Amino acid sequence: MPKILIVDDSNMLRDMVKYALNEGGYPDIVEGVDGVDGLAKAKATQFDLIVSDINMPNMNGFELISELRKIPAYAKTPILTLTTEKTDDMKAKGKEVGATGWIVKPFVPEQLLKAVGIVLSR
Amino acid sequence: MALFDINKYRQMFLEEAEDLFEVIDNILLEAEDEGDMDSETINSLFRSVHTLKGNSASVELSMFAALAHELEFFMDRLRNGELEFQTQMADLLIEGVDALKHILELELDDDLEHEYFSSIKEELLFKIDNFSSDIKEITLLQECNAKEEENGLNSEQNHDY
Repeated sequence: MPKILIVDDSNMLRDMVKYALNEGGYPDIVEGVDGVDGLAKAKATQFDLIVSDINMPNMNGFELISELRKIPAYAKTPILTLTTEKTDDMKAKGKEVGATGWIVKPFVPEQLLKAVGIVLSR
Repeated sequence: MALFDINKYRQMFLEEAEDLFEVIDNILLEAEDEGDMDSETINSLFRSVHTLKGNSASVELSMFAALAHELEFFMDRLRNGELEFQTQMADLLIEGVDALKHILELELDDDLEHEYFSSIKEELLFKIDNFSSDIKEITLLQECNAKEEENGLNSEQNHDY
């Protein structure tokens, strides 16, 4: 069963993502409240997938992904961003730091699960 | 797959919104008093409004999200240096945030007419545009003055010859 880390500074958004993943058959979820917390949790446990917000205090999503990609164990782990940002510039920056996929909020559960299914089956 | 329980998530949104509005209010009141806002504070302000916008859209408060988007866009211009902070901007933002709170209350009560919302939004955009136009005029004026000085110097030089 894949272990998934959700990183978002909003308790509501974390709960929505967790709900969608649980409903889709992914019960093994850990939450991080910002980039710093997410990075610490990723270092403590090996996750199979990370779903992260971009705009967060302390360490944003770009910085988090960039730090994760420096860790050999996370060099190829799928990382999905879940954000309201949708400009091409932001997506290009996401690609540059190593994000695997980009999902725009608000999202519907099916959309997230489809993306999760694709990146986990690679 | 079941859809999200909007009532449950709206309640969570409101709890977070209360904290975010408190952060925003404190930042703006301090900025109004001090007449200044450093880049870290502008970032924090932007992030709070950005979160309000994103989360409200997730719980189907579309008009609140649309108004938050306008404020966020203005703050983004402050954040990226396109506009320079001036004390009057704190007043404008305080007014904008008050409008957001008002719209939130009405939209939650399902008592928000689209026409009324449009009038609130247009009024805010008008004030934002006025502000932006003022800034542009100042910039243009400075450029004009600089060019005039340059031209004056050139003509003096020409005259000397």
